[in-house]
Amino acid sequence: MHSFFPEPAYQIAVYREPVYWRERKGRYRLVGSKCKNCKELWWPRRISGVCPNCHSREFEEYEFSHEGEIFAFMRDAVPEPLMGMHVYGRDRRIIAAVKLKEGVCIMPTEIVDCKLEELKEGMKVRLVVRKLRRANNGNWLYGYMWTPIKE
Amino acid sequence: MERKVAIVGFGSMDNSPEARRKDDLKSWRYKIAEAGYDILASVDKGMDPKDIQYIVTNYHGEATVEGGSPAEIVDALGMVPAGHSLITDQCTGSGTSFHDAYALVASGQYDRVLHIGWDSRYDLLNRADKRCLQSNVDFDYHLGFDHFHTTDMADYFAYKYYGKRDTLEALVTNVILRYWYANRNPKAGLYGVPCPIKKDEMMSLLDTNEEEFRRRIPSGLSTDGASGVILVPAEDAKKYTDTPVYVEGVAQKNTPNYPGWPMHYPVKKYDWASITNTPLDKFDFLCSPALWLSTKEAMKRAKIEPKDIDLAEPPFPAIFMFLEAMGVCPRHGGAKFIIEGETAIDGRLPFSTHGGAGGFGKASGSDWSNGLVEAVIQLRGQAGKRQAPKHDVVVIQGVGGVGGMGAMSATAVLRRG
Repeated sequence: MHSFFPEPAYQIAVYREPVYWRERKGRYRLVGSKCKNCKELWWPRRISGVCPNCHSREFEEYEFSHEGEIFAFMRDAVPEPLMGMHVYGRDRRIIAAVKLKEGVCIMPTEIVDCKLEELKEGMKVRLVVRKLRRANNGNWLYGYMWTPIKE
Repeated sequence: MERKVAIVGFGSMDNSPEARRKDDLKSWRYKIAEAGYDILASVDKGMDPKDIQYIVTNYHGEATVEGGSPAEIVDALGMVPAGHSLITDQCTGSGTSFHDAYALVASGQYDRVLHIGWDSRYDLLNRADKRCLQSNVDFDYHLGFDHFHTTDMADYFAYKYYGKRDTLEALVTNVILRYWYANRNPKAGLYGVPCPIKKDEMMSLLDTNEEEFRRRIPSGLSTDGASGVILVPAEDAKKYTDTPVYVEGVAQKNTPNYPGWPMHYPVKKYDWASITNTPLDKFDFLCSPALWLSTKEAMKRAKIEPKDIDLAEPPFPAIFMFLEAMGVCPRHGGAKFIIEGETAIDGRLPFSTHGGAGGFGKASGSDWSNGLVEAVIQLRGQAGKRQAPKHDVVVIQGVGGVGGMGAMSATAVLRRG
């Protein structure tokens, strides 16, 4: 671990910076894919560029709704993250499945700024972007998370 | 024209506590060879290693330190220059490799095919990768949640649709059965290890001190693994053994690996709810559509109904879905089936009789083939103290990946000769 970074900066082969960079629109703005032929929406984006519905290879970007409702939620019960898999500043996170108005389900994702006891299925939530971890090169990586919409 | 296929040899590396104490001295090459020559030695009338025409193996996959080379494995087996396919398909990999080994014999291309599922479980990189959700979109779409978190998600839906008490009572029952079976299997990782829990004590503990209840539940055993069979055309089987086992049906199916996909997969021809016989408002992360598809297809090919199945060998802990996919109990009826003792040796469907993944040793790449080898032993009536009383038809199932509780699945149906 480099002394500049109190968080573990070493990581294991699967975490590759180019992937984070390629997927930045998806992770920061919920940009997925829309098939130009059959108009179906896909989350996460169809990286292969093939629509499983009509097999078209023509897509355009589609920014999904930044509001949704909680479909399921649970406490992260895994006590210790494996080396290099730490998430910044949090453990025992709230894992959730969030359904968007387009029908897409974001799962797994995280609920923040709220206690587990305050959550209910069907509760309205909005997208927030929070720190996730540092990349191998020290860059901060962010992720899409959700917080309840206060009435 | 598809040929009927028979299994004439079977075997595995020794997973017993005594054997595992010497594990540090053995490389994965040794373990593959140990399984390979155990399989050859089991052929009653003998088979020369030189007679093996083709080899199909698999391991869990993802990062590899030293695995991954088909030539390395053929050399380790001393079977150069036999052909070899190396498949990676995570925890159902040895089912997928069995599927392909079967096809090579059924198609008429080869007459003697060696199949081995194996895994080097303690390989650090491989193990680290396994803890990701092995996603099709890479790790950043899982926000730091890894493979172990699927248990949290599964628990949520299990408590919701099966009831928390029934879910945990089924878990306790299953753990006790794991020890019961493993203590009657000299090759099992938990052989000779007494079961540390009692059902009555645990269920009263659940009412009074849930934290202590959870602390006392023993976790499953993780080990290396290597096991497999030799496949030949059915018409040649009696040349090698008087007790062949016939392969009646095999199937392998895949679905997306993204965990949330079952809730939204807009492919018109693919109806997740009807495939898994699930009401639309009861999405259940414990269910693997791939498992239902592969089980239905294998059973259809074997022309069997749920009532025809005598025992099942899916070597995985999350067993509700296996029972429900076979149709031996209703959808969301898996927990009751286990609690009522139906998966015990004298129950309706003895289940994972080698000890299951937790009792025999969870090795991922050889999970399915460990179940396969046990199925052959049971069908031949050689299981000793864990022999199921009725043993004509066995179903072997497996799942791998996430995507619900398994994005890929292989199933086979075997029948006694």
